[in-house]
Amino acid sequence: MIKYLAVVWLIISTLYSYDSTIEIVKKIDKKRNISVVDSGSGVFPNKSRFLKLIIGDIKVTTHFIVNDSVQNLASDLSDGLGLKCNFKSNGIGLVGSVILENLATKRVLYKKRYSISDSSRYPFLSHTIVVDLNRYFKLPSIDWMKRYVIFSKYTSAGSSSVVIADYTLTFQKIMVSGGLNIFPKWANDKQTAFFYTSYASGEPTLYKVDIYSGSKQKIASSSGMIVCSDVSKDGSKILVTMAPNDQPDIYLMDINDGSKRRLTTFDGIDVGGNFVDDGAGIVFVSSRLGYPNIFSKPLYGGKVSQMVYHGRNNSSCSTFGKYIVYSSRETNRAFGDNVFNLYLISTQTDSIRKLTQTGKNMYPRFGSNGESIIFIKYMGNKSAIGIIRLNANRSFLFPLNVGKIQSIDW
Amino acid sequence: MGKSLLFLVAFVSVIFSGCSQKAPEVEPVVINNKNTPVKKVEENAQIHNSVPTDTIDSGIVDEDIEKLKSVGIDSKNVAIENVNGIEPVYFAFDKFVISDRELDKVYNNAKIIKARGVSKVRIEGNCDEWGTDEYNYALGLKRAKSAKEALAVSGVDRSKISIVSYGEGKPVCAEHNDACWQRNRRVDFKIVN
Repeated sequence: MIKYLAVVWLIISTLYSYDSTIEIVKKIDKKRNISVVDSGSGVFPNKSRFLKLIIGDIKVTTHFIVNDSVQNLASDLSDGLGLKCNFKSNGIGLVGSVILENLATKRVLYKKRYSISDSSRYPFLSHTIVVDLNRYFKLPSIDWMKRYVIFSKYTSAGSSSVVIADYTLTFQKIMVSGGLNIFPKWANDKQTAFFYTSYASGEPTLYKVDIYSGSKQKIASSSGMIVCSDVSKDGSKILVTMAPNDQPDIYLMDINDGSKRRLTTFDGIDVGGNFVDDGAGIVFVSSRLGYPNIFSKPLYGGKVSQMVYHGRNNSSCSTFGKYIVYSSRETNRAFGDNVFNLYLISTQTDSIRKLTQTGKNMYPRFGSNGESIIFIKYMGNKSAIGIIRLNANRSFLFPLNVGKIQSIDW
Repeated sequence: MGKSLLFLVAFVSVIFSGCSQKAPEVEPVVINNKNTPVKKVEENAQIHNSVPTDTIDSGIVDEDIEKLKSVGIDSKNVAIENVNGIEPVYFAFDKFVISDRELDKVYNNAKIIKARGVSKVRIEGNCDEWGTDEYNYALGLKRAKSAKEALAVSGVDRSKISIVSYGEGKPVCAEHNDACWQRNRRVDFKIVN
């Protein structure tokens, strides 16, 4: 009898285990209506953008139905929630308060005061206000909104800067400039340091930078190329693509003692190693079929397995736990526009979920909770940063005005 | 045994009777800026009564942002000489094999390099804007490696040749058209003094 119950329990557990590669069609959740109300007369630069950003942030939570426009008078509204924002400039920064009110009953649900010491940081003010709103209703965490995004952008031929930004890339601070500085990658989950590749010495060199002290530590250099592709959960090991013998391969490097072990030996191209299955294996991009595609192999021993069986050029991927998100070029035109779409797969199932439909969708990177994916979308000469909320099956675009992005990490 | 099976069937029936929702479907996420129309739902009455209305000083901890410290520039200048007659070599879309026509250029470059008795040659691999991430840098490296091999076969001392990839980071043409992309899929031969 116990055996039977164990089998039944196993079956039920399997049925109910969540798989992000499959979109479960659910009943419509009860979402709250909310309007953002400008309840103050204070004037400051970017006020309009600030209030619109709050609306954008609330939409990205996917937990509310938000009115598209900022309301000037709460009295015009008689239904749902009102997020009354009253901010003013104090010379260099912003101070003010937010009142959440039930517009039907006029009952104040909470009031919070906020201040920032530099008005250019208003995007973080917006994100914090919305994270607090979300927390108030005890909704699934959106704390990732307050995390930094790090990216490299080309400024001219042979020159690029490393920049830290908020997730919408509205706030930006240049961290490294001068020469070619590429492939920034957070060195730990707390985002206190990052790796990047510099060409300043003539030979590609990997550095680690502490973002608060500015101290820079040389990790390794290699002729040809060197890139930090992924960092282990504890930050002690990194996957590096380097070419000490002119041959690009993936190496596992210990940050503490500098030792390294070659993981791939194919004589074509092996790049972009990412830890998968809690560090038991790696997923990487290889040209072993004559075109770039996604493969996996155990960290120790084992065979290389093909992970993707479609697309003509799958050259970029990111992992979280057992999940892999990758960019796939669907067309093969040497000239003219090509289409790149994002897909989500799992190492545990054969399911595949298409995440985008049109345009050039590139640089997919998982957020810290694995439930959100950030990516860059190119549409003609315009580009936008995209956020995909996997569980909500929704995506959002924020138009960019930053030039050509070389690489991004979240 | 019979009773056990009966119990098992009943148990499973009860479990599955609550699972009659629509079967899982695989559907794409549609990119848009606007909310998907969702049925308007009445405000949850529970909210009105259960949440406190205290004033909370949340503040914003922005010291972290304030402390962000940029890294200084320590770029080292490498003396590069452009030599007359040395030509870049161009590649086909997504390829790192040198075509016969382009191979003649490498042989000609080798002649010039040997005649000048240069001490160091740096071959720089480049790509068009179509690739992404590391693969493009690796593709540029493989192009540079192909050129290095061809140069070595032509009699240039292998130990004098170094290679590096700039991926799509050093375009000679910034326009978005066919001719431009072709010009960017190349290797450059630099004489390092």
